[in-house]
Parts: sequence; structure tokens; C-alpha cells
Amino acid sequence: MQIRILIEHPFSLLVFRWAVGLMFIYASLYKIIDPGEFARSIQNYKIAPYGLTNLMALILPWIEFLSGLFLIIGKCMIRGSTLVISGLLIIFIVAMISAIVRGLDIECGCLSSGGQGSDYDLYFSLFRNVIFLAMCFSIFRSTLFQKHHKEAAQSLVKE
Amino acid sequence: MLQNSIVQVLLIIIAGIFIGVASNHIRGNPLPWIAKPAVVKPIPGAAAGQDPGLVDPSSSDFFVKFESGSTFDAYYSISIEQVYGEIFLNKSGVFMDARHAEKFQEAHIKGAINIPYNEVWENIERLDDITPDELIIVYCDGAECEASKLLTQELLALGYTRVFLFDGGWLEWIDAGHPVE
Repeated sequence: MQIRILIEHPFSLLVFRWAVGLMFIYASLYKIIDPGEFARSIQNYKIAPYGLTNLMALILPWIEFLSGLFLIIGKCMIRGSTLVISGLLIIFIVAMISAIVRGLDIECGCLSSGGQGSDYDLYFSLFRNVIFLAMCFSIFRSTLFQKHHKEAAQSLVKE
Repeated sequence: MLQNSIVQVLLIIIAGIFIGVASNHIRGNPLPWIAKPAVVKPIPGAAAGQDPGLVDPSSSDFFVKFESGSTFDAYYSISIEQVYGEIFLNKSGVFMDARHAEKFQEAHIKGAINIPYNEVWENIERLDDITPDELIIVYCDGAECEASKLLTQELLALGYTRVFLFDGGWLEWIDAGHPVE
């Protein structure tokens, strides 16, 4: 119960928003600067059709950047950016699990240029993404309650 | 509320597509929209068992540069028969292991030196004794890994002219039971 109170505390939610937002902005920067390297990271996973990897490398980082920015600003598009980031995290988690299961010797490609890497790198990135996904869940949940509280307050005023 | 969330998601995705496309358009070296897989070509003379000869990185026949920069999208590959029969046994070339140091230390092709593809500058002194026209065979785990291709690019960029990709790599080498250490 105490953990729940702690997780739902406004200060915790602010920390979650900033942590996820900053991480996504940081992660997007190297990809924006060098989309060719990011395309190579995507190719290493051998999941997406090869021909589309450049297009993905050009567009995904900007979606990450914008979502991260909206989360940090926290004034608008919070639900949308949380959903986008959650969707991306789920895709990343599935890709990493599939890479681990297939025994691919690659780096995550999340925060730096990807290539060959240690298993530790993939496991650590997987763990980090699961934590971020949990944070996103908390943030999204809080937006639902905010809405609920607002509606309740408005109906009280009307009465 | 669900509708509102979906609209927000779509707005972010559309904005991302728009900025991504626009930023690539104004980039000095735009990335091609459609990625083309690297072409691994057998070296000339592979069938006849001849010396692999010189690699000319400026030759558009085999090494075509991506518009974005220094990435080659074609490599000369060399078969295990040629690697073992003509180069390893005759000691006529240098073997370079592009894998990480931990993997190299576990085991590697006998006599190979370790230049992890992403730590070329940290290990540059290991290249001191290798002349630019020396025959270099680069390998990593196998055909699925990228490290050997990346190291091949780095070596060609450094001015080495006879760099060949042993596409079968470590896995093919140990399957064949060739010497390791």
C-alpha cells in the first residue's frame, strides 16, 4: 500500500516523466545525428524488412524526441506521448528478447551506435526498458485519475 | 478520452514522419529512403585458386559508397578453402578477429590478432607492423555478424588495400576443425 502511495505521489510522477522524457530525448539524439548507424542497429536485429530500415531510422528518432519533449513539458499531449513511448518500449523489449533467444551477438543500439556486443548489454537494456514501461504505466494511470477528479469536481460545482 | 489519446498518438507520429523526412531532405548527405543490403562478392580468382590480388576501394565495381558517408555496401569475400589452404597454411596473410576482446580471449584462429571493430583507434599500435599492401583476412562469428564488415570498412579507410572478408567466420573455422588457440 505504501509503495502504491509512493508511486502515485505527484513528485514521483514528475520524476517518472522527467526520467522517461530525458532518456528518450537523449536516446534520440545520436540517432538523429547519425541515422545510418541507427539503421545498422535496426538491421542487426534482423526483424524489420531490410529495405525499410533506413526509413525507420529517419522517422523513429523524431517520434522518440517529440514524445520525450512532451513528457518533460507536461502541459499537453501527455497521454499521447506516454502511449507512443509505451508502444516503442514494448517493440524494443520484444526485439531484445527475440535477439537474446536467437543468440544474436549484437548491441542494443538504444543509446549508442549498435554492432556486436555482450549479452550483458542486451540484458541491461531489457531491464531498463521494463522499468521505463512501468513508469509509463504509472504516468498514464495518473492522467486517467486527473481526468476523473476534474470531472468529479465539475459535477460538484454544477450541483 | 480514448479518441483524444488516439488523436494525440497520430499527431506525434505524423509530426515525427514530417520532421524525419524534412530533416533528411535538408541533410548534406541524405540517407537513401530504401536500404540496400550489402553485397558480398567472391574475390576474383577464387575459383582458379589465384592470389586474391589488390582491392581498390575507389573502384565502383565492388565498393560503392553510400551517399551518407564512408559506409561501403559491397565487400570481397573469401572462402574457407582459400583462407585455410592458401593463406593460413602458407602464412601469406594476417588474420584479424573483429569480435570483442572477451570472445577473442576465449578462443580464436591460431595466430590471429584482435582488433574489435569499434576499438580500432584504441588498438592502432597492433597495426604498426602491418604494411598497407599486406593481405588481411577479417572475420567475426559468422555470416550473420556485422563486426567483420565494419572492421573491413575501417581498414580500407585507413589505406589497407588487400582486405578480405572471411564471411564464414569463426563458426565455419571451428566446424572445419582448423587450428585455434
